[in-house]
Amino acid sequence: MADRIEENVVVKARNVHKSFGDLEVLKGVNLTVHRGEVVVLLGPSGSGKTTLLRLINQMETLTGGRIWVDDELIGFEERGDKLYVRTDKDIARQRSYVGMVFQRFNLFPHKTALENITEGQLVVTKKSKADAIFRARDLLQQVGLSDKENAYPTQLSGGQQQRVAIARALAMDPDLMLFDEPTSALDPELVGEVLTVMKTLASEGVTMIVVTHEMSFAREVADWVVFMDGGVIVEEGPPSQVIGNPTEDRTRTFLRRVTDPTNVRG
Amino acid sequence: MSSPQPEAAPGAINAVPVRHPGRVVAAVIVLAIAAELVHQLFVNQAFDWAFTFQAMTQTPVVEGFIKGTLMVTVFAMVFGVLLGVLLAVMRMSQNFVLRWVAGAYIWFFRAMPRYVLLVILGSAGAFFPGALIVLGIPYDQQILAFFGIDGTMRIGTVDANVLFSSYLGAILGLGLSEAAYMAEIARSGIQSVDKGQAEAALALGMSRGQAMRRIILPQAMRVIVPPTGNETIAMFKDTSLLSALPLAGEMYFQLHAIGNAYYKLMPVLMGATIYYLAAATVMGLGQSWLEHHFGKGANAGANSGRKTKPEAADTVLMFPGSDH
Repeated sequence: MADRIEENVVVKARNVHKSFGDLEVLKGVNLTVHRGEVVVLLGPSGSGKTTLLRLINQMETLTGGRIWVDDELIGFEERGDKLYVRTDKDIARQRSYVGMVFQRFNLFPHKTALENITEGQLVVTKKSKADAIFRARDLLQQVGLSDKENAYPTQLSGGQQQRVAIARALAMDPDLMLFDEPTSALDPELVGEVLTVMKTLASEGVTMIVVTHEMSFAREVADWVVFMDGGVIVEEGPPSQVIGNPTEDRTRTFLRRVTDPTNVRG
Repeated sequence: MSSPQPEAAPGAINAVPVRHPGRVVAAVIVLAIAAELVHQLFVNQAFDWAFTFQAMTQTPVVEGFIKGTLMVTVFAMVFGVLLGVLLAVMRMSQNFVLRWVAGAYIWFFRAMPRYVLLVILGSAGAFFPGALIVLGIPYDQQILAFFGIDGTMRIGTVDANVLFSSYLGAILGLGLSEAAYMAEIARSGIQSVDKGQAEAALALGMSRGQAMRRIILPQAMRVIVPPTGNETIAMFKDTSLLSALPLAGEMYFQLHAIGNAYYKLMPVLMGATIYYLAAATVMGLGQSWLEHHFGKGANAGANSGRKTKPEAADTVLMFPGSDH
């Protein structure tokens, strides 16, 4: 990582381990994400990339290593030489700095598009209703859904739902946005509208970690590409290097399979 | 195979429907039985409708219906729902003591027949010396003795037999029993909500409590409301068990007393029947309103959050060839 400046770090993950029972999903991962950077995590299913994302937002708890977000150790507090588990309240505060977009959208089905976006502002940041609605309308416009503010999620297409979900996460003014395969559950013709919104965010300098299989997005938008397999980082670097000219066999095999799914011989 | 006419395109369907003689016969039989039953309502001497209505409009009976049936149902259900939701949350707690206590509570009260439970509650005076419940700070004498004071900290006493055979006792008994059933209903409702909903709420920075109240419970209500409606109707009917306490003011108890006094039992039983039917009918209307309210977003049609049934679905169910 010599070619990247070690300042303005948003995420610093060191020697991250995660096991589910006997299954070790992450086996010592190091990751650094700088402010304004778009980092794309690539890798076959089961490689641990989604788990790494969920650890950063504390949907899962670390079994080893440390993760800092904005220079603050997440999930734990180090006092003296002892590690203390953070309170639920403290964890909730840390989560509010990190926006998360899920593969299956997870919009609140009993709330309209607008209410989905105001919910966090009203409950977590305790904004006034007028302020929350003002911000929500602004965000809906950014994702191109101004005419859908009163629609319930079931009345929206998958692409529209995901765009509302992005707006919902942005409403908390997060320092970091996590995208967990945001287009994997979409019909092919709806992928473009979500990627377009994400590209715009990237150009506006939003710090993003994206788990995706969309190679064109990774090539065009990513500042840094991380290829994971079997719970470790196999290769990382700028997209021109990792996607354009990979040095590791496993990376090459994976890229070949992604670009030509029928080629299973590897 | 007959050859199709080459010039004309096939026109509208006007086919002869399949006949169902079996259904017609069944309908006639059912109708005949129903007609005979209705006929009996008018001619059978065991009914004495004039006496029924006279008994139903007696002040103690009306009061018994309003207080003993309606009020007890409402308060016992409110008590049962609140305690039930609390038990459901306890049952899903990370803490095994809370989980175990909730499990034991549910196990006990689901096993207890309500009638037996009410009889026990009515006799609960036996648990208190002189059937008196003392209100105050527990272990007051011991605490005061510890500080070298000889005395008590008591507010007063209540006669257990009076308390437990009052409306309060009725609400307590039925509510305690109801909570066990509501706990299971609430738990299944909460567990029916997709896990991603809690994750999305937590990811925004909500606390577990906020996520439960604002995101999960409103969605769980869609699953909770229909069986709760059934529970409420069952509760209406179970207020007739309150004579076990004994709660003398209750409607069925009052009607039964009138029937006994005048040797006209069947007419007063019909009076109770009419009251219960009326109450259940009103309840059903309230339930459909609630189901509609909590179904918001879940069964939304193409244009509004209120429309539930697209027109196409109706057409599919129609028989081919039937004209309307």
